[in-house]
Amino acid sequence: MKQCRKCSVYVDDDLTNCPLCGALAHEETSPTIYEYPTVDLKKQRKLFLKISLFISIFTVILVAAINIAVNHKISWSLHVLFAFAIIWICIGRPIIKRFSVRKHLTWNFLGVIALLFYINAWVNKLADPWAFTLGAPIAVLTWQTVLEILTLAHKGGRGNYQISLTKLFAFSAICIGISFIWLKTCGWGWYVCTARGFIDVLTLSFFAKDSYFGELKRRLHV
Amino acid sequence: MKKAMFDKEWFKLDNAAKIYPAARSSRWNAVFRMSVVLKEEVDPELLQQALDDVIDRFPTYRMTLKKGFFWYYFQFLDHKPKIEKETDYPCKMMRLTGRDYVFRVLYHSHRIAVEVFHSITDGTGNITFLKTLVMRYCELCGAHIENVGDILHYDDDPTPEEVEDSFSRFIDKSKGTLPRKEPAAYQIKGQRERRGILNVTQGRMPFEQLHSVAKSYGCTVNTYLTAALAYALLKRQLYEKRSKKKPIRVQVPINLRKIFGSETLRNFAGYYNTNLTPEEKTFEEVVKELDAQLKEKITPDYCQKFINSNVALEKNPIIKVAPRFLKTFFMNLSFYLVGENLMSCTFSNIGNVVTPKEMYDYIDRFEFVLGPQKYMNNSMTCASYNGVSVVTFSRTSQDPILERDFFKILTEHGIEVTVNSNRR
Repeated sequence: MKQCRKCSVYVDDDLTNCPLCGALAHEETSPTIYEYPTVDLKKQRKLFLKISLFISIFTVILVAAINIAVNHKISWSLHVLFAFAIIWICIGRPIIKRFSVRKHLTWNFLGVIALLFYINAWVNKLADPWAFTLGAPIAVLTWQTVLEILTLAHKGGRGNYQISLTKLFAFSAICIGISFIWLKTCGWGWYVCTARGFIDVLTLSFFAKDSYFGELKRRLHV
Repeated sequence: MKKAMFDKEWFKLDNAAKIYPAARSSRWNAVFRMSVVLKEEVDPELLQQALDDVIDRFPTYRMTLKKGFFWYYFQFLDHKPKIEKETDYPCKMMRLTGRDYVFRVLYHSHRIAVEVFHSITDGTGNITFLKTLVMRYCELCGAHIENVGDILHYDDDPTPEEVEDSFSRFIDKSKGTLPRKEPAAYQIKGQRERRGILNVTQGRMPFEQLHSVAKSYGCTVNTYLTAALAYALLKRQLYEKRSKKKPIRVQVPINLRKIFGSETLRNFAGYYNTNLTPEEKTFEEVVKELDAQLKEKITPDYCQKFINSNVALEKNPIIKVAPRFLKTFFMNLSFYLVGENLMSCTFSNIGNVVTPKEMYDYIDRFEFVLGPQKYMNNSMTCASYNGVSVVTFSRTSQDPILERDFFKILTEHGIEVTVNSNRR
């Protein structure tokens, strides 16, 4: 057994220095078992991620600087900023955080809706909000279709997909309300989404009663 | 399948468990580890078999954490957990994906470690799980254990008392609640390590020496170690010569099972923050002061008020109906305001671990490691087994200031300390 003369403690044989003060431990013997695994520090660094993030930020700043230099205001460089933001939030983050398929889909569709709103705002400053009245309902209808297919196909995580369908039903119904408040009228898009959501919920209530209500109970803590 | 006896495939989180998923951050998610160091190298195949045998005995371990609309909840997982080879720092962040287990069984060389997310259980619950797992492992290695003592046998059925939320059971509103106003405490600051790095320093010492020194100061081993820690913190603050001195508070967990007679394997622990004013004191004075606090303040009445305070918050009708994301925000805020800022360091002592005598041939020692804290840099634990006490410091800062000061106090008192660390 080695001893640190400075701290007066004994030091395990697999260490060469005292872990408290860093001084060399004396009376060295042959090393025994390593008590802890040696961790590869380089593995921790996620270098690729850091480089990607750096390139993204650098590109955005560069493009903004060129835009300001040429046009004396930030105009078209906003597109680059928005594109990078969408890529990081809706594609990069779900991959890095290893989201489930369902969560991937959620973020992808939210990205599509955000993109529609951005284009709409850029083209006519939402004077004619087609992104809300037409674009978003079409995206939601597609989303519903994908979730319906996954609910039928995916046996293990069926409960999660069922709840996602219910959330979309609630979201569509809320959008009808928003439409009336904002536009004083509501187009056919949100009605179709809500009706389809209602049919989904009704179907689940009849054909997957136990699993659907079981999942709902858990989520609502009742 | 043993889960059938509970008639449902999910559990609500107990009262203490609710804060952990809400307050988690990218650096911290309340993971702690209990491990056992064997005399022989671990056989992974036997360990996997032991885990397969044991897991159904502990229904709350066979769960994953899911997000509900109002609260998080535990849901039963169909697949069995797999053991993993330890390749990283202790108490690595637990990924709460809703698909994976919220505990892991790791092995490396002679060590079997169980790391759990605090929402599942507390120290007492986890040591019960580890003891059952290791006993089964020893049996598979050829040990013939006649009297299992207080260890839960893997073949028995879990009881409803083991999975109950004891906080809700033992609430008594007539006893009142605890005042929560406390000023911020002194904490050792230092350059933080990179995310994911946890420096662990262990000091092993003969329990007899520790016991006799504690006896010479007229206190228990637990009080002695608490006092040594508080004294090290006090000396450090006085050495730093700060203009505004803060009190030294060591947080000591209380096992409420003993006081209320609960058998739950879920969270049922309270805590008490010892308080030391920041002025020059001798070690004897510190021991005397803390001994008085631990004896006089930790009473059944205090514990009852602690439970009432915690449960009252959960049962508040406004909090009850608030959606989860709002609760998360406010719980995070309250964790910052009344959480770690009010204490200088945590000291958790699981005491003397007892196993059947046949297991002494297989086990060298038990260890207990607290994971990284959210705001604090240091925490300390102690576990004793077969005459050896292991004091473990876990640290997210670079310099081992606190452990150096602490072990210096112990060696000055004549205790022979053997240190080890994962930092080389």
